[in-house]
Amino acid sequence: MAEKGKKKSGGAGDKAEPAKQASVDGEKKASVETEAKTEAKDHGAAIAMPIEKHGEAAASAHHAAAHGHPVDRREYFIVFGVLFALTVLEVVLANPALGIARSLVGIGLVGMAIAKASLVGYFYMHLKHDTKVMKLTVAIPMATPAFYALVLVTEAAWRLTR
Amino acid sequence: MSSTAVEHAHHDGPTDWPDDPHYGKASAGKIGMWIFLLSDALTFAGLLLAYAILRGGSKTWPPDPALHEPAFGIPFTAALTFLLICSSVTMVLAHAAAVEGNRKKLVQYLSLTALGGALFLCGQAQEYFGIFNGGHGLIEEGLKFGGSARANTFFVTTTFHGAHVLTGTIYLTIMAIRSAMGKYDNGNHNSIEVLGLYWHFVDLVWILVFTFIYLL
Repeated sequence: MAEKGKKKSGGAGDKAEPAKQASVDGEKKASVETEAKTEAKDHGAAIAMPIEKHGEAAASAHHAAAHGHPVDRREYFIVFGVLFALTVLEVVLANPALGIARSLVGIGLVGMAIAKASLVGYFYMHLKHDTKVMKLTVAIPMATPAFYALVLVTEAAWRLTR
Repeated sequence: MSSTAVEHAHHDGPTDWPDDPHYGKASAGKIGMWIFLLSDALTFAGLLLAYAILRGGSKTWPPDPALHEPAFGIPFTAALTFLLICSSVTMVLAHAAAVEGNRKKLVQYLSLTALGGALFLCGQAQEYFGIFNGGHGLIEEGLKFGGSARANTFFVTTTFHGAHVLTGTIYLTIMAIRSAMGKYDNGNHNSIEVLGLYWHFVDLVWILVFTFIYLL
C-alpha cells in the first residue's frame, strides 16, 4: 500500500500531496498493527479482541471460525442442571413402588437416557459448533444400533402376541 | 487487512487448520478421536444388544430365581452417575480455561476431573468387592461371573466401561501434568478438546449403561 502511494507521488506533481499523505497513513497503520500484534502475542489471545476497532462481532466471528466456538459457561451449567434433573426423574420413575406399567416405565427411561446422551454429545462434545457433515458422521453410526434395537424389541413384542 | 493483528493472535499456536468444506476447522486429532469413539460406541452397542437379546429371550429376569442374585444398589450407582456428570462439567470448564489460556484453572479443572474418575473407580470397587465395608459387595452377595446371563452381561459391560474410566483417569492425569508444564498455553487447546471428547463419551456411555442395566 505504502509503495503504491510513493510511485504515484513520483509520477504526478499535483497528486503528490494526497498520495504522500496516504503513504504516511499506510505506514502509521502498519506500525499500529505491529504494536497490536506484539501486544497480542505477549498477553495471549484473550486481550487481542478489544484492540480490534471494527466491531467485536466480527472479531468473535473470526474467533469462532479459527477455534471452533466461543465459551459459554452459562449453557454448560444449564445442561448440567437438566442432566441432574433427568437422572433424579429416572431413579424416581424406576421405583416399582409407584405402580406404573412396566412398558411405560421402559419407554420413559429409554427416552430420558437418549435425551441425556444427546445433551452430552451436542453441548459438551461441542457437536453444536461442528459442521453439518461432522454432525451426521457422528449421528448416523450412533443411530444405527439404536434402530437395530428397535427392530429386535418390535420383533420380540410381536412374538409375544402370537 | 485491519484484522491482521487479531487473525495473527488467534492463529498463534498449532491449532489452525485449513478450512475443509465438509469438516470445517476440525483437526485431524479431533476427527481421529471421533472415529475411535464411534468404533467404541458400536462395541458398547454390541454388548448392550447382547444383553437385550439374552434378557428378552429369558422368561424371568434374573433368569434363575433359585440363585437369589442380589439387586443392584440404585441410589449408590445413581450417585456414581452424578459424579461422572460433575466430572463432565469440570472437563468443559478445563477446556474453557484452555481456550482462554488460563493455565492455573486448566490444571485445576483437569485434576478435579481425574479425581472424579478415580472416585468412580473406587465406587465400582466398592460395588463389586465391598472394599469399604468388609468385602460385602455384589460378588459376596452371590452375583458371580459365569453364574447367570444377568451376572455375565452385568460384569462384562460394567468392567468394559470401568476400563474406559481407568484409561480416561490416566489420560487426564498425563494431560494435567503436561498442562502444568505449559504445553497447552497460548491458545493451544486442541489436545484438551480431544481429551474432552474421550471423557464426555465415557460419561455418555455410562448414562446408557446405568439406564439399561441398572434401572430397567
